[in-house]
Amino acid sequence: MNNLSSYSTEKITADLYPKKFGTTGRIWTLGLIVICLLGAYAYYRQLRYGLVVTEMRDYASWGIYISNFVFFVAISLVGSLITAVLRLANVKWSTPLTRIAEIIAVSAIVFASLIIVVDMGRPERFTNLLLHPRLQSPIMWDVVVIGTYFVISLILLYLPLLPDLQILITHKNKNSGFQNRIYKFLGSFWRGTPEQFRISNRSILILCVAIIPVAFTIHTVTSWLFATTYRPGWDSTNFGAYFISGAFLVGGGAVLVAMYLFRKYYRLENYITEKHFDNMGKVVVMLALLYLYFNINEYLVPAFKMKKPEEAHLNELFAGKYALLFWFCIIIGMLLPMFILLFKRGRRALPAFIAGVMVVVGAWFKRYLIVTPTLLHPFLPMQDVPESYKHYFPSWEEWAIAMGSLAGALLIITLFARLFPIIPIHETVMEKNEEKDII
Amino acid sequence: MPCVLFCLIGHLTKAQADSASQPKRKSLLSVQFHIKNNQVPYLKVETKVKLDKGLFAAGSIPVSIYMDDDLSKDALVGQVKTDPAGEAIVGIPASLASNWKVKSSHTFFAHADSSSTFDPVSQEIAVALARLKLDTVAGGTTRSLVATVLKSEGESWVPMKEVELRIGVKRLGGYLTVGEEDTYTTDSTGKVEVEFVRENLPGDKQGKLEVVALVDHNEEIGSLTTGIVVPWGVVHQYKSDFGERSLWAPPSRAPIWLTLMAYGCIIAVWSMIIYLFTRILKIRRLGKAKKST
Repeated sequence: MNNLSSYSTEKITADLYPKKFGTTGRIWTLGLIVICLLGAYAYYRQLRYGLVVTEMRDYASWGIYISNFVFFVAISLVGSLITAVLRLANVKWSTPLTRIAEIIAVSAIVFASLIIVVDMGRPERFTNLLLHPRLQSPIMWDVVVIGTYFVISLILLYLPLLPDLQILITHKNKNSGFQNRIYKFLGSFWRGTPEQFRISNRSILILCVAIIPVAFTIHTVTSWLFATTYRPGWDSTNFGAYFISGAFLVGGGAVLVAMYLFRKYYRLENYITEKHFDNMGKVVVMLALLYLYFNINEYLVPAFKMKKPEEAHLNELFAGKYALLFWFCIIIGMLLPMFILLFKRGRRALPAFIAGVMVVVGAWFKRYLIVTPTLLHPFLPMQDVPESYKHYFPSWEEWAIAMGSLAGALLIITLFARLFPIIPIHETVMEKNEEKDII
Repeated sequence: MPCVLFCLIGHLTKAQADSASQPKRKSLLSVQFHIKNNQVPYLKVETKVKLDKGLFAAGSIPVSIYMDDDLSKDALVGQVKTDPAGEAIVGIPASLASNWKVKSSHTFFAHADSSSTFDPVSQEIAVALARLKLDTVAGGTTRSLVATVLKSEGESWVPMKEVELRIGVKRLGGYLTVGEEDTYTTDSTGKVEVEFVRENLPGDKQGKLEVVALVDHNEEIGSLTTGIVVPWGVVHQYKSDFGERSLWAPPSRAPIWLTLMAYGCIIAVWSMIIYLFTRILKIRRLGKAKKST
C-alpha cells in the first residue's frame, strides 16, 4: 500500500467504508437483476415443461449447466488460495484482497450448489440425497464437500469481518436503518477485547489450515465425477491435479478482474495499488504455467497413443468442430494472458485486468470442452437415434439460466460490497500502525 | 487416322489389362452329413469362392439338395440359401422318412445356382447309415467310458473297426478330452474303452457332466455325435454376492473401508467446524459479559 502510515485512521475508514451506488452501480445492479429474472423465468419454463426445453438428450446429458457448475467450483478455490495459502505464508500484500477472494468463493459455491439442482429433472427429489445417502457415489461425496466448503468459507468470511462490523456499528449515521439492523445482528457482541481477538485469530488460523485440504477435496471430487467414468477424454489419473491447477488459475484471473473493478469504481487506488497487480500478475503467471503443464500431460499423452476411442474425441478438439473453441481456450485463455503478465508493463492494472478477463472467459469455455465433447463421443457408435441426439448446442433457456447464475454470483458480490467493506478496515489500520512503528 | 489408331490401341491395351487384372474365381460347394444322438440326421452345406490365393465365404447362394434320385421332385431334401458365412443347414424332411429307412446307404446330390459372385457347381456324397453309442463301463474301481460304432447292413447293425473318434467333456467353447489321448480308433468289435482321468471338473448343481463321443468327417459314415450325462463332476453351487458389501451394493451395504474413510473425514472436518461455532459463541458471550459490566 502507498504510504499508509501517513493516513489517519479516520481517512482509511472513510475511504474503505461501504459506499452507496452511483449511477453506474445502479445500472450494473439493475442489469444483473434483469439477467437473474430472465434466468428465473427460463427455469420456471424448465420446471413446467421439463428438461425437454434444453438441448440435452440421451448422449449429451450434461451440457452447460454442468460446465457452469465445474466453473463455479473452480473459481471458488480462490478463497483458499488468497486467504489461506498467502496468509499462512505470511504474505502481507494480500491483505486487501482477502475479502474479495472470500466473497468470490462464497458466491461461486452458492451458485455451484444451485446450478446442480437446476440440472436435475426432478429437483424435488434432491432431498433423497440427504435422506438416502449412497456413500459409494462420487456425486454424494461432492454434495458433502460442497456443503462443508460453503460453511468453512462463510466462517472465514465472517470472522475477519467482526472488527469491521464494530466500526460500521459505531458510524450509525452513515448507515440506513436496514444496514444498522444487519450490522447489529451480525456483530453487536464484538467489543474488540484482547480475549476476543485471541480467539478470533486462533479460529482464523485453524480455518486457514483446514480450508486447504477441503478446497483440494472439493475440486478433486468434482474431477472424479468425470474420471471415475470410463470415457474418452475423462479416463485419466491426472484429472484431480489438472482440475485443481485450472481452478487456481481461473480464481487468480477472477481476483485480477475484481481488483481492477473495485479499485476503479470504489476509488481504492491507494489500497489496491500497482504493486498488488504486479504481485498478483506474477502469481497468475505461475498458475498458468502449472496449468499449461497439466494440459500438455492431459492432451499430449493420449494424442501420442491415439487409442481408437480417443481418436475421434481428440481430432474433434484439435482440428474438428471444437477446434476454434479449444484453441481459443488454450491461446486466449492461458498462453496470451501468461505472455502479457510475464512483462512488468503487462502487470499494470489495465493489462492485468484484460489478462484476467481472458483467463476467466477461457476457463468457462474450457469447462464446456471438458464436459460435452466427451459425451458426444461414446464408445459405441450412435445408431438409430434422432439427429438431434448427435449434436448439442444449448437452448435459450439453458443460456438464460447459465447467464442468470453468473449474474447471480456477481449480484451477491455487488450487494456484499454495498453492505460491507470490501477491503478489511481494521486490518488495514493495524497494518498502518505496524508500518508507523517500523518507521 | 493416327488418332483412331491410337484410340484403338489404347482401348485394346486397356481391355487386355482388365482381363489380366481380373482375378481367377473358383466356386466351391461342400456337403457334410451329420447325425446327432443317432436320431437327428441333417446336412450342412458350405459355399466358398477361391480368389487368387484366398478362400472366401460366399453368402446368399441358393442350393438344392436331393436324396438318392438326382433332380427328382420327390427326392428333394430342401432348397436353402447360405448365410453370410456361406453356410446352411437342412434336415431330412418327413416325406423322405420311408426312403430313409429302406436303404443302408444314401447318396446326396447338391446343386448351387449361379449368381454374379458364384458359378454353378454340383456336389455328391454317399453315406452309410451308422450309429455311435456311448455308455459307462459298469463295475470296477475306475471310471471308464465305452464308445461303439455300428454300421447298417441289411436289417442288422454290424461293428465298424478302424474308425477314428474323440471322447470329450463338453465345456464352454469346446470339448475337453477325458483320457490321455486326443483320438481313439475302434477295434474289431467296433468299440473303444477310455478311462475318465479328469478329477474335480466343475459340473452342474448335481455335479453332472455331459460327455460326448464324436466321429468327425468320416468318409463312409459322415459326422456322428452322441452324448450322455455322467455324475463325475464336482457339485457347483452358484453363490450370489448380491448382499455383500461392495461399491455397487445398496447404501447400507457400502464397503467398510469406504464407510470408515468417508465418515472419518466428515466427522473430523465437521468436529472442527462445530468447534469453531463454539468459538464464535464464546466470542459472543465475552462481548455480552463485557457489555453488562
